[in-house]
Amino acid sequence: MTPYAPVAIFAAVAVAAALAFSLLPGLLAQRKPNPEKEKAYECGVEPTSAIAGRFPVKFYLIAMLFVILDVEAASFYPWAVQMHALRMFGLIEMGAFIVVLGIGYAYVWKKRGFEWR
Amino acid sequence: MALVLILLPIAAGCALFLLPRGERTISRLAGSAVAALTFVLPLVAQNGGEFSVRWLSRPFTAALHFAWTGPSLWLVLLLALCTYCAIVATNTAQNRSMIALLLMLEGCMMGLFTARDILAFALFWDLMLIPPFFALIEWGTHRDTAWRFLIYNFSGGLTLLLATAAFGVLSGSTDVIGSTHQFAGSWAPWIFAGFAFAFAVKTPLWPLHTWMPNTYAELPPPFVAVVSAVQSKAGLYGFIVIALPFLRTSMAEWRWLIVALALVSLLYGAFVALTQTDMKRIVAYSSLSHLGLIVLAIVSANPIAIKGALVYIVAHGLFSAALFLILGYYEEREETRSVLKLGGLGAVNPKLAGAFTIAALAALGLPGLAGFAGELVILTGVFRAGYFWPALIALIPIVIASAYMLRLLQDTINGPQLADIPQRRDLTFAEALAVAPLLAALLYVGIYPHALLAAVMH
Amino acid sequence: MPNFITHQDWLAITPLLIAGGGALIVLLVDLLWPKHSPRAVSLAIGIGVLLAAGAFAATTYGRSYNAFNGGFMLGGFAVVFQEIIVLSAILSLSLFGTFGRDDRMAGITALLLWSTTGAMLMAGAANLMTIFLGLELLSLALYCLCGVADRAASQESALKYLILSSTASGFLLFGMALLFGATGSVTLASLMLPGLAANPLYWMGGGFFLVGIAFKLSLMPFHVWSPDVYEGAPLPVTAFMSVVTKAGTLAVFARFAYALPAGGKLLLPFFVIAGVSMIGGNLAMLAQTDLKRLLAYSGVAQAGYMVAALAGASALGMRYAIYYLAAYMFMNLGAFAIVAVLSGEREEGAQIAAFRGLGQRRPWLAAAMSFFLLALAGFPPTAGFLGKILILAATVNAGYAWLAALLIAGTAISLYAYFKVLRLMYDPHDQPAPGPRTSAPLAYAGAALCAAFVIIMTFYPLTPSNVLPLVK
Repeated sequence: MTPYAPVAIFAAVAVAAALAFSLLPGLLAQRKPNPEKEKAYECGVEPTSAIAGRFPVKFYLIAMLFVILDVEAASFYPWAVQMHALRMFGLIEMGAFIVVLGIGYAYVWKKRGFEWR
Repeated sequence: MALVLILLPIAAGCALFLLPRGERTISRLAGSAVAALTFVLPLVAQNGGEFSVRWLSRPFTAALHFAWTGPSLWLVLLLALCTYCAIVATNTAQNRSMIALLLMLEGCMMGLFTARDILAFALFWDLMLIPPFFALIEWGTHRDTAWRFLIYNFSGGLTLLLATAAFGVLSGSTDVIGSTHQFAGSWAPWIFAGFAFAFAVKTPLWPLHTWMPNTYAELPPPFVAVVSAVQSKAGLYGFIVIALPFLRTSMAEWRWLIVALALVSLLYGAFVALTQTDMKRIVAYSSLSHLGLIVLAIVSANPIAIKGALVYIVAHGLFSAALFLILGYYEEREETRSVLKLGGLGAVNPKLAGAFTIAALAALGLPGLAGFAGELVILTGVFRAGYFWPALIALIPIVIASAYMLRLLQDTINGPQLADIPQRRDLTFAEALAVAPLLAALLYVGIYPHALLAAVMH
Repeated sequence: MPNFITHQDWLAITPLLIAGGGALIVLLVDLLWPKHSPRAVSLAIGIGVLLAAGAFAATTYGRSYNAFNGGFMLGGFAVVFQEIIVLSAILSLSLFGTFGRDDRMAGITALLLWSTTGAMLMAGAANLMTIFLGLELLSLALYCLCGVADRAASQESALKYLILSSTASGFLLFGMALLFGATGSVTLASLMLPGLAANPLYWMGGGFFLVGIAFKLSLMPFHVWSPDVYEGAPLPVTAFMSVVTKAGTLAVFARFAYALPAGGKLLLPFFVIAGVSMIGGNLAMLAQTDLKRLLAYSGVAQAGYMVAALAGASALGMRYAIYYLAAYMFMNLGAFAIVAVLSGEREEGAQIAAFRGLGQRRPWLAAAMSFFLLALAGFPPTAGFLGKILILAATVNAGYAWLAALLIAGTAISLYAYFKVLRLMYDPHDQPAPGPRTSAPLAYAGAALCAAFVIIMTFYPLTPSNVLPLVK
């Protein structure tokens, strides 16, 4: 257990601090509310639109496909570093990986997933 | 051979569903032929027609093992006879469905009564609930009745299942019915309790009887004839072939509770029967009373009482089937079951009234008819077993039985004609054909009970 | 290092490779010949691939091999579970004859095959990493499958399943991390090490692990996702999910439970949960109006029965759990096949009210449905009846009589719920509502197959003997 003791202490301190910061103002601060104070902005323009801007839904598809293919390409890197150690087996393994990836790529392409419709 | 007895009625029942919906004649002819065949078969092949196939080898050995020896034979014959009479008596627009269900019911109960394996017994125990359930759904007046019937009896089936599993695991085999090795151990009383609960619900015993009066009142007459005459005997049969040989010591531990419940059923059934106005309910409650007597006989574990119990099981089956069929005829003619709205029917249809009188007199235990023989032997046996007070208390309902049965007769066939009675037909040939075998058997067993007693010696 | 994957290792996972690679073939065929009736072609290839995978797995029955350094244990246990998984995948796939858009069939089939691959991996997984790999492969494909129908409910169910199931995966993973911390190894065999009981990490890790498992098995009170997800997902997916997820997770649980020192106290709360599921699941069934929800709650209770069979970690209990799982597969998928025949593309037929008067409209379908419902309730002569008595025997034998009593009580309650549907079908007083008449030959064939097996299994109870979940 001892090696974990610092972790436990750290966790306890973190929780205690978070609780303290969120609870103390409620106990200590004085409250004198009036309508002006209750507004979201005490000065400036009244907010009228949604908080988050809206993206076209097409964007998500493209972004997702990009991330998937990008991340998978990243797994080439460790193989490249260990290429000599892994030898033929590694090469075949990577070939299989590329084939699977390629079929997925072809599928998306054929299903017109890359077109900005 | 025994397999034929089970599968033939079930197959015939399924086949009947292929006939057109409104069909009446063919189904009745075919159904009664099948039922008659199942009656003749055990008589011709008296060696027991054994059939056995290994079913399970672990965690306990079990077999699909069927035969008709000992008490099974009598119940098989009673079942076949009652089914035959019920099918002959079936005469409605839904003949086809009713007869098909009756045949399926017969097949399931054949399996129960011929099973030599407790697991197979439990299998058919649950299976035989389905045809009456559908009959109640189809022809009952209140939907709740069907549910109450099913839930009560299936709960019993589940404790039976649990007890069977425990019995099998602890004794190593469930293929034991017919043998007599005692089962003991710290679990035995609880296993017995599991079995006894199932049997007590089915019989029924007070206070587990509340499903019974409505069920009997609402089932169509042919169905209630089979259910009250034979299906209610499943619990008693279970007591005789399972509880008595294997769990005798555990039964002795629970003895006083069961004796008390049996006596309460005896008295309660008899007194409530006195107050009922619905004809079918009077007979239903009388059934509760009569079957309490049989439970008392079994729990006394005296050989004479057991013999009496077997005779009375057959006798009760015969007269309750006859009574319910005859009440069905009355209900069909008068369109009421209330004794208050009836009277003086004996003058209108004397043959029917005569048949009714014979059946009712058998039920109240008139000497010379089957009921008397059973009651006498049971009371002798219970007395010999040292149950002096229970035997004495059991006499009271027998006296009351005369009161409610005679009242039933008096209010319907005697007395002034209450209802505006048009020309009612008397007993038709087909109807007579249905009740005659039952009444003849009542007379035969009443005059010569030795035929039965000798056969059940073993 | 280069040759540490041996020929034997490849053989061990060949069924998985067939199923996973088959999915690629389905996609390729759809790409190259898109015009040729995509539904029939995809289904044919999918079923063919599954048959091949099942057949290959069957040839390895009787062999025992410890592949990938103990990550994947090939043996009777894994093979039997794989066969059950493959068979239920085939039966579920056959229900797709009338569901889903034609142009999505290839994707659906591929996802289903990958999901099956994941479950098959779980069947043989014997260390924490392969367990998680299999579980995630199974789940990820299922998230997508839940959302393939063009209905808001379907999409909602996909999102719900994703979020809740990920949470459960988190629990599972955290438990695995703690167990790894306690034992210093990812193999389940390390759970047999002496002295673990003194380590609090072992108790915490085991607890979190079991919470994750209980969630995937949809045991009460971790079942809340299942009715909603079952209701929203397309019907064949629900059918697939109800059996395959349970089969895979049960295999993992069995391997974990049997690796623990006999009578591990860690498992006691889990069996209590199983007892709660038997009662609670059956009680909740009473209030349902949608048949898929009803079957979801029925699944909660049935999972409880299967876990109860494993109480005491006996060899017999394992055989009976497998027997009941196989019986459940046939009973449950049979019921789903009937619902599939009756319900239209919008699945309005899955409402219990749609069964009103079915006995008069389509007597054979009604009879088949009654048969499957009675089997689920444990009526004879069905495998459900024998399965229950075997489980009762196993639990009584292992000294868990209270679980047997709960099983009996739960069954009594369930009876009312199943009969509620039956009563509606055979109600002569209700006007029959007109329903869609779909022709679904595959679903009919599936239902007939299920019915036949439910009866055959009753009288020829095959419980293979060498199915102990080994871990080393």
